Amino acid sequence: MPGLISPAERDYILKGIECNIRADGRQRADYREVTLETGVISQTSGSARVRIAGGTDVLVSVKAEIGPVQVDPETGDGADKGQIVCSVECAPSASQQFEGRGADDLNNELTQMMTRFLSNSTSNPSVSSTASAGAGGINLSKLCIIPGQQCWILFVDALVLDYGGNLVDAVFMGARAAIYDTRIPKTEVQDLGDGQFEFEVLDDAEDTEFVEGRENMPICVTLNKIGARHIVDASPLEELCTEARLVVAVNRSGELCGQQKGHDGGIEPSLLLEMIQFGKTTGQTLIKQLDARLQEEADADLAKRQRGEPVHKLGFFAQ
Amino acid sequence: MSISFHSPAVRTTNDGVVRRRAVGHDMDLDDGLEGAAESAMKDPTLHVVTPGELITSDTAFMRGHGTYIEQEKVLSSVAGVVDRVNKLISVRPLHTRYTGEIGDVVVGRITEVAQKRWKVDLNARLDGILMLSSVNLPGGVQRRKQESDELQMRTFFMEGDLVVAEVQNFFADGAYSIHTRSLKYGKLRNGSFISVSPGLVQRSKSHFHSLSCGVDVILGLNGYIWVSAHVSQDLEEIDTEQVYSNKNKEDITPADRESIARIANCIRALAQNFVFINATIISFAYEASLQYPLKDMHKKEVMRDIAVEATTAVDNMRG
Amino acid sequence: MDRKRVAGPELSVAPLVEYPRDHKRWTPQDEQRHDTKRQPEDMRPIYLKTGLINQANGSAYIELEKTKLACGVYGPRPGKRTGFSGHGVLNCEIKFATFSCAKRRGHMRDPQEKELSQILSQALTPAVRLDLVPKSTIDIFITVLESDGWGSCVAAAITAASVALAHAGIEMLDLVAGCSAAYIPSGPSIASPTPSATDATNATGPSLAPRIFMDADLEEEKYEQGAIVLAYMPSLNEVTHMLQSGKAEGSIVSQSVEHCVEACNKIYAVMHHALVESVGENK
Repeated sequence: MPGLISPAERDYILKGIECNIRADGRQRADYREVTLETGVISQTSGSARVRIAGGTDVLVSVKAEIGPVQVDPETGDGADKGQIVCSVECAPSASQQFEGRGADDLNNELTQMMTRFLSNSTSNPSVSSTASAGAGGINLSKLCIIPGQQCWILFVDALVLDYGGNLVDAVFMGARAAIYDTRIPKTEVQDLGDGQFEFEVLDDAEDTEFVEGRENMPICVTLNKIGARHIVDASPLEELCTEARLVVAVNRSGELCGQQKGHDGGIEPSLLLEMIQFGKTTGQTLIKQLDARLQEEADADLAKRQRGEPVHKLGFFAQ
Repeated sequence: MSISFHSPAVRTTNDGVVRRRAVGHDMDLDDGLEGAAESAMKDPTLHVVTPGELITSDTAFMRGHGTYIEQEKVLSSVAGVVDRVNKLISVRPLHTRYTGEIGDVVVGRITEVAQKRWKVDLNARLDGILMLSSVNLPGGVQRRKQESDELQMRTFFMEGDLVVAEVQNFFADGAYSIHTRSLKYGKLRNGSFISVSPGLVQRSKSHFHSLSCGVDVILGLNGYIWVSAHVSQDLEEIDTEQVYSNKNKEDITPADRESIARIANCIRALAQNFVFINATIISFAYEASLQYPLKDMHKKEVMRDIAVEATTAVDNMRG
Repeated sequence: MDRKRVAGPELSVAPLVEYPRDHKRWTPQDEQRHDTKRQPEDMRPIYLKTGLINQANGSAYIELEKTKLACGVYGPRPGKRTGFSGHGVLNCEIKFATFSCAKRRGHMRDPQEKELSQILSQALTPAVRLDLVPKSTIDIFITVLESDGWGSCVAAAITAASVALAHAGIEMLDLVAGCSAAYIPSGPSIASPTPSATDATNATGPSLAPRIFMDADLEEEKYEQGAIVLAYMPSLNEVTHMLQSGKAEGSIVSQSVEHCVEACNKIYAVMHHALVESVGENK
């Protein structure tokens, strides 16, 4: 039954975390094994699947579509930028607590978090004009096709297929991998004069380009405060014992792209600053390893293509 | 801080999996059979059927669980392995919710406190019922139930508590009635909880095991397993006032925690590789796991190796 | 489809406003803030009063110059939740009035408001003694009448809700004060680093480090490259909520957290004063 834990178990987990031996033997700073694969869905511009040993399974897809630019009526900003629209959905099959309306709050929370950290902040629809890249690192100006009229809109959709704890990290890792994998067709713009433009999307499957700025995308590290300590990558039972949770979004260069506290407890300011620092260093290590893995996969695929072998993505049950 | 990324790989079917002849008509209950279908395909004595498939047309057989009769033919109603015991034919499904018998030892989680009874989640199709009259009240086995006990039920068991109990009876709708009338049953403390598929736990003489590494294991037939620190218990010395306390014992050392975590990971490894779980194979798996550091034990290859070594060790023991 | 209201045309454009010829829009290059009376570390003066809504068990009204919002608290009253729960439930709902922001908002609660409601509940729950009110619900309703800066709205909502809860006589461990800050990039002219004497080592060099503006208003927020909202319990010394968006260096974030904690202590004094006044009046 999800959501229930006994006081004895809670106490056992708490004391275990204090002496750095969690219930499954990990230390406070240890992640479970992550299985990552990109390019799993053919109908998308980019996709990735992240599985954390212990049950979390997230599928993220990126679809690039052409649409009108969104201009802020007051500042006139946004006429030369593309957009990123994020959404997260927890499939009702993922866990008993997700069926019906149960997942609505969680979906909304994760969607807002993704929007806040990856595209422009939800507070301000207009991005500061000094940075054409929002906190998400993606160069939005490059996504514009005809200034003032048409642009690429990247729809980043995450689907949670199975719940085993630590959804936020999995979703962001998947988003980064999916955008890494995304290829956008090139466009040719013709100036018809008189302010009229026409553009054509080049159909060549080989002539596509990567999303510029994809290396600067942030990923998240979730720190759960249990007792006076904090852990990463919590299992479902550990999440039930969490007093307060801090999600730290950090990018490759160590800049903090956002933080959000969750759950119903308080954190002392000095512990808060310590957690932020820890999240930052952990996140940078995580990005390095994630990038290494993505590069490895891309190289392997390229090698296969050069040898003339077909690149098969393994089916969904490949362990 | 450590994190590892893993790439999915094709698993060759003969990957060191120990395939053993199904001893289908052998009454030996302590077999460590490989229940997976792949070994069945190679092994002619294992008969795998799907719903609606004909098992036999011989009317001399009595039919058991998982079968039905149509026009004098015995057909299967579940997807599973045919089990033939003398004249009784039944089909044992591969993956199932718990269906139990009277006398089964089960581990359950309290979900609800109702009038004079508790509802217990047993991983079955209906919640089990634990009547107030089926528990030992603090102060002695013979203490009579009073009115005040009914009003104070939450001081005994609360929502979320874990109990070990025995199936006493069935209600008319099929719900199990469980009791904790013996001193070895009751509230669970000092350890952590694991859930495996119910079909993997076999019936045996005792479900309370005290392993040599100082860890107690309770194998619930419904697939819920409790791994805890060893509490030396003389049945006469149990403090009847403390049976419902939620306090864990004070002196659980880090070494104890490591053993508990290791055993828990071994059980998970066995469950993931579809191996029957009993005390002997857990001990072998524990020894096999000692060569791996505790934090690596959640990796798929490590889990696989442990399961394979344990099954080989059990085979060798049988000689 | 919303049939109850006449929505107006789907595509509507805000009217063009012509500023007077000598109107100069504020930019980060300016030495001073948008509100020239304030220093970067100053907050706007707070007007806080309880007792605005008669029907509610507790209520508060807060004004931060052009940010105005009203909060009503109902409870503890019987909860609708079936099934046992050892402690009460805090149910927060925040709604921006349709005329509160520059662009007209819809009548229905949009996802952003739903998330804000969740944030509010997470910020207030550590302070309220919910274990004393099992099976009951405490409802907090906030209406934003005028919004001058998103961060300041959220901070003001947290502050007003705490005061309203105290006004309703609900047992709490401490008052929660909320405050916000924005990271404004300094212009090409060398901007002085933040006035605080504590470590101002900026990895990117003094001319490029953003300035921390406490309690930024709407004009300043347009140029922000990041923002932070913090909720803090002064007596218990615990942060109950933190939300940071936009890119920033670790040192800037740590600095802003410290500034916000200091500001929350000052806000606490204002909250305390407002409550003492209201109790005094009723005597």
